[in-house]
Amino acid sequence: MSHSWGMHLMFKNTHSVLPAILLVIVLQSCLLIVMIANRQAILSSDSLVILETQPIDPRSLFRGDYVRLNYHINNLKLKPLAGDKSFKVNELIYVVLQQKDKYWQASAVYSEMPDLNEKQAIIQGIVIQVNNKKWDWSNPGFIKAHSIKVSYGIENYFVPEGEGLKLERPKEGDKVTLEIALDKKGHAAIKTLLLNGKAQYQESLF
Amino acid sequence: MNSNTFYKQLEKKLPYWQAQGWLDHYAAQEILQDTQASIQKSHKLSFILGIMGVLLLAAGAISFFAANWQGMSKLVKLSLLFSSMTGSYLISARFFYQQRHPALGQVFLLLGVLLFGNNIMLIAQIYHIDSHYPNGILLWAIGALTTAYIMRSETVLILAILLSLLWSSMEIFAFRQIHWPWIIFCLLSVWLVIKYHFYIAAHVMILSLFLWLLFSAYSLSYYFSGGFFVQIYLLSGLLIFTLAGTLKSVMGRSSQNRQNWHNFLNILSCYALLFTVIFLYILSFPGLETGSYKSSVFNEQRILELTIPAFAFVISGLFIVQIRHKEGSLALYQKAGIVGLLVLFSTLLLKVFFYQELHTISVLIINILILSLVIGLIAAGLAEYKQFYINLAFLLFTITLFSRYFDTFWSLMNHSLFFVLGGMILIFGGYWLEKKRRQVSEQLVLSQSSSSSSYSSGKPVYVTQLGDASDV
Repeated sequence: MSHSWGMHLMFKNTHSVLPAILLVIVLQSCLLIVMIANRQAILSSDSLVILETQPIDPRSLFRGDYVRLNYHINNLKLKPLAGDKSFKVNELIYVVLQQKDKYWQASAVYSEMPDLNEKQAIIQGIVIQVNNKKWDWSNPGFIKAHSIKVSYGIENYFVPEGEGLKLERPKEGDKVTLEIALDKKGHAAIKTLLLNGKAQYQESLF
Repeated sequence: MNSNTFYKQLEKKLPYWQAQGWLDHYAAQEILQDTQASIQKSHKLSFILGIMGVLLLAAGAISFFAANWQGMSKLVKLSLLFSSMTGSYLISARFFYQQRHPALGQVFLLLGVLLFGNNIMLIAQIYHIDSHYPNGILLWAIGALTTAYIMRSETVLILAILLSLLWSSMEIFAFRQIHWPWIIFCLLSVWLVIKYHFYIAAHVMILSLFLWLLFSAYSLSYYFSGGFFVQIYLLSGLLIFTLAGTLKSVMGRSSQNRQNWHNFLNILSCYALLFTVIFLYILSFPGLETGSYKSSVFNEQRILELTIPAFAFVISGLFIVQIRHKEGSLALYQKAGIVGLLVLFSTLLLKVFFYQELHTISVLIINILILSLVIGLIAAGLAEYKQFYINLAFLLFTITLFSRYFDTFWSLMNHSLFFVLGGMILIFGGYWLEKKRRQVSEQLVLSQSSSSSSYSSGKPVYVTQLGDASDV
């Protein structure tokens, strides 16, 4: 086997080097462009919903330069929701959203893409936890519960360095909400981060 | 004169010198190889320094982006990311094309792949992409593997293998699952290693395979005891060792491609043997919990009752295939090896079925097997010209002896006497063992050189520390 420490190029003809390197550049650039185009397509979608976030443990809310967001729809209690009732961890699911007052809330959850009416929107997520029982503090012991924890790929938001504190520990009465763009398959991307209804960070196309 | 130019001139002139009868074909090849070796030596330092430089450059690029990130628009950020990556690749192409500094070409190629990974992470940050996070590393590893294939670069292939291991270990440790998709990546890397005849990448690939096997235990550690894993790993190592040996004997070395396979399988079998020996050694300790672990998902006892015979069946089958393809009769050490294997399977099975009653006996048998293996490895090393077997035998003997001294005399002796005696055994025993190892190694070199002088092609043969006798 070769003992050249991997230093040498194994092309017999040096004229093949340039086409080969151009092929590498094109392929890798294409991969990166697909990543960008995919996001741009979602962000340019007309389907926009506003989701509420819940305050979460401040120790883990802000790490480094990004805000960890915990939406109401991350934790779904299945009993009041329409749709399927049994899910597995790592399963792809479709959550139907419906507007109530200003904000959008989950109204049903399905394993397959459902049909929607005009007032509904769909968001795709992955089940990361299934809870069939929970601890009852009032009467210590496990009681039956049927809820799932879902990730939608919009739980992290990168903010300028040092500017996350106001989102990390919102003052009493402050409300952090997010405007989310959705494509037809329910893929989501954060469009605007709002504090008390006022846009703090907005995503532009370029 | 530039070393590469000198080499090229030599290449042109040597046929003329041969035609004049000033030197023969063998001498001409020796001169070329010697010149190439000195060129590689001179490039080695610049390559190592280059790699360090690339790492600093990549770190610098990331720090620069981080420090100036907020002041840039998305378009500027993306332009910077793409231009830095493309620039690095084009510089590498220039170095390769000129042929003067191939090491620098590799260094810039590596920088390009590192910047590609940097770009994935930063684009994910720009667009707040928060998907399954090991996927970012997977994408990076795919890019690196593709580059290694297109550019036929061993350095980039090593990076791709390490990235794939990182990807898989993230899936295993963060999501607690046996990560089978890594096997696809592993097979693709093996194909490249063999296709392009890469030596260091072969070592990295095989090491990654065994590390992956070890990591995978984590995903099942809720359900099984340590002793279970020790037995399964011992048998897995043995299975890989036998499989490599069988493939070698079935394939032969008739073509260059088969020779590449042969070399790769040699390295694989050495690592598999090392892996097997490590777990055989662990099994030689008394008090290792095995076969008694029961969880709601798996019954360890039942699984061992099924898996040990299955392993024994497959390993024996592979040995039979290997023996059938062997020319001539089996040597004594090979026959002893088969007996040892049968004893090992029987001991493991007895351990599973009569765990409580036969635990002490099984530990005793494993220790006797280790000592027999030491003798067998020395015999095999001498017969097959494998320095690695001899070194492994002496290492195994030393650590087993020392471990048994600790096990046996710790509670029986006064502690100060224990340490004094232990120190003396270590110093004098170590001296004696090293002396013996050198004697055996010299014997090996002597018998090997007498064998190589009658080697049909007239090429010299050398023995790698972790590999077989290979043609230079």
